[in-house]
Amino acid sequence: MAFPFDIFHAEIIRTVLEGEKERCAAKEEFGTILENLNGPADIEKYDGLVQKAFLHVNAETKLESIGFRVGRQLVEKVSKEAPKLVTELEIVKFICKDFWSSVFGKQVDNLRTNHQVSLNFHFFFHFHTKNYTYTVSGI
Amino acid sequence: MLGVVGFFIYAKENARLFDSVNPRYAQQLLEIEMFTFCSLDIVDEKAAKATEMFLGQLYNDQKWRSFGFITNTGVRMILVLDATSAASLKDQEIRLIFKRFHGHYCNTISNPFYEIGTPMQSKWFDEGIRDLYSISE
Repeated sequence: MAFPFDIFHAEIIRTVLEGEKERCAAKEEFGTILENLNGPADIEKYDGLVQKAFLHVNAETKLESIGFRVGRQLVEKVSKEAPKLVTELEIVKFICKDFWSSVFGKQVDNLRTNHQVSLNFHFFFHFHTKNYTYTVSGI
Repeated sequence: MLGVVGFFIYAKENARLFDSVNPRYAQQLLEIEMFTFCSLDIVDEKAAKATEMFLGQLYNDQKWRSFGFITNTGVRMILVLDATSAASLKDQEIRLIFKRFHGHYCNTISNPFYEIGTPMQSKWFDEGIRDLYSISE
C-alpha cells in the first residue's frame, strides 16, 4: 500500500461490489414479485426494479471497463512522446519500461516469454500475441 | 494564403472520430472527403514501414495534397492542403500541427463524458481548428 491510489483502488472495488449486491437483491425481489403477479399488465408498475435487476453489468465487467478506459487514456498520453513503436518487442518493452514507470513509479521486475519458466511474484499477468506468451510481473 | 483545407481523425479501424473542413472549401466537400478516404488507404501502407509517427505526404492530385500521422495506439490523423495555393506549409509546421492535435486528442479522450469510439467534440479541437484556419488566411 504505497500509493494513495491503492486505497482509492480498494474503494472503487468496494463500491462496485456494493452495486453488484444491490443488483442481486433487486433480482431476488423481482422473483418474489413475479410469483404473486396477477397479470402481465402489473409488471409495468415495477419498471424501475426491472431495470435495476437486469442490468447486464456485473462487478467484474464494470471494473474491467474502468481499467480499459483508464489504460487507454494513459497509454495515449505516455506514448505521445515515445518514438514510433514498430515491432511487437518494442511495444512490450515500452509497456514494461515507460508505461509501467509512469503508472506505478517503477519498471516491471520481470518479463519472460514462453521460452522460459516464470517464477512466482506478488503480481503477474499473462498475455498472448501471435508468436509469444508473455508473463509480466511486479507492481 | 497557405490553403489548409481540412483536418480528419480516424480510429484504429478507420471509424471517423473527428472531421473539419475549412468553410472556404465547403463547396467541394464531397471531393475532399473522397480524397481523404483515398489517403486513408495509404496510411495503412506507410504505417507498417514508418519509423516515426509522422508519415509525410500521403497522396496528391491536381487539387489537393494530404499528410498523415499515426499514433502508437493506431489513431490516424490526416491533414488536407490545397495544392494550388501559392505558399505552402513547411514540413516542420505540419509536424507541429499534428503534434498539437495529438495533444488535443489526448485531452479529449480524458473527458469522462466522452464515450470511446464515438465522434469527438471538444473545445480543444474547436480552438485548434480555429488556429489552423486562421494561420492559413
